Amino acid sequence: MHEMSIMQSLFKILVEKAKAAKAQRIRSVTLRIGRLSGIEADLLSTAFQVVSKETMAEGAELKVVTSPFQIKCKQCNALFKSSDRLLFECPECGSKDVQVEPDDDLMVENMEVEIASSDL
Amino acid sequence: MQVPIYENILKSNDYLAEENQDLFNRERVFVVGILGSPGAGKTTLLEKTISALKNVNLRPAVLVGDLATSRDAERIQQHGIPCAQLTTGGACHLEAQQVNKALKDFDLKTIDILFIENVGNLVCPTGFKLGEHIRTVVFSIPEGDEKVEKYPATFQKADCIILNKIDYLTLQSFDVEKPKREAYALNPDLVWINCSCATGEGIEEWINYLKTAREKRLNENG
Repeated sequence: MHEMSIMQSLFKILVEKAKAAKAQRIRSVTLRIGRLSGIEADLLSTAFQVVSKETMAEGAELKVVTSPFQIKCKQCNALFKSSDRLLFECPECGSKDVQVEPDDDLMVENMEVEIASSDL
Repeated sequence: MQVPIYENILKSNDYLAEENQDLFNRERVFVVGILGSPGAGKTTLLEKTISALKNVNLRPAVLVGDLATSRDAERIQQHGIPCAQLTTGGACHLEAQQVNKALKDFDLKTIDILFIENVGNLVCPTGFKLGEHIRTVVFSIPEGDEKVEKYPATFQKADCIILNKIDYLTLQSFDVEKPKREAYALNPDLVWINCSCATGEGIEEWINYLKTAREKRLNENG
């Protein structure tokens, strides 16, 4: 399960940023995961719970933002979206000559942290 | 308080992959990542490739990733070329740092093309760059014609797709145009090769592709 490896990389970034912000606790983390990143959002949440145990992120909420697949028909130029499965056929004209947007983002966008009142 | 981050989660792996590639460029080694499902024929393809590259005076080497065994490496070593084994201990993909460590087993000055055979898996290795110049994904007729549709992320990142065991077309129904069309929808710049390691179909096309891609890369690096 490579989601665990990805979580460990994420945690390195979170801890570094949290220290820089003098945070005591991480309350939530927002990721942006592209549909073609090869990552399962559900598995990420499980891995997050495991990796965050006994860290400043324990109990934090993991928010995963995903976008639908975006596909362009090369015949009729229609742009269409699909949130569950990837469509290789234009719903407008039926052509199979389509182009899929390469949405492979694997980003940590931001986090919500608590800072000790003495550091404010 | 909200802390903005906007960073690639795999940035540390990407950074190490870039370091690997800088090293390959300095040593003028062209590096090909090989991905594919278990049983797609990755090692057999490499065996055929090794013989064919020797015939055109290019010196190949192979770094093999495997979950637990050294069977693939033993097969490659019989061809008398530099070969190292990376046993991942059950991990489902290779990472740039492991490749970097394994490179100490090679004298890069004696290598023209290094193949990095990843763990047999069409999901996990996708997001992990290793420093390779091109990535080839191998799948085969017996696996069925829905592989591209099911694993679009992996096929989208392929520079070259090899549809292996094309000689099995006589044994089962398989619409070759379907995965090919889907792969081009994901990446219009890819190269698609129908191949059979049993009959030799497509091997010459594959070798020519490797030679051209290598020369192009060497010219870019001066």
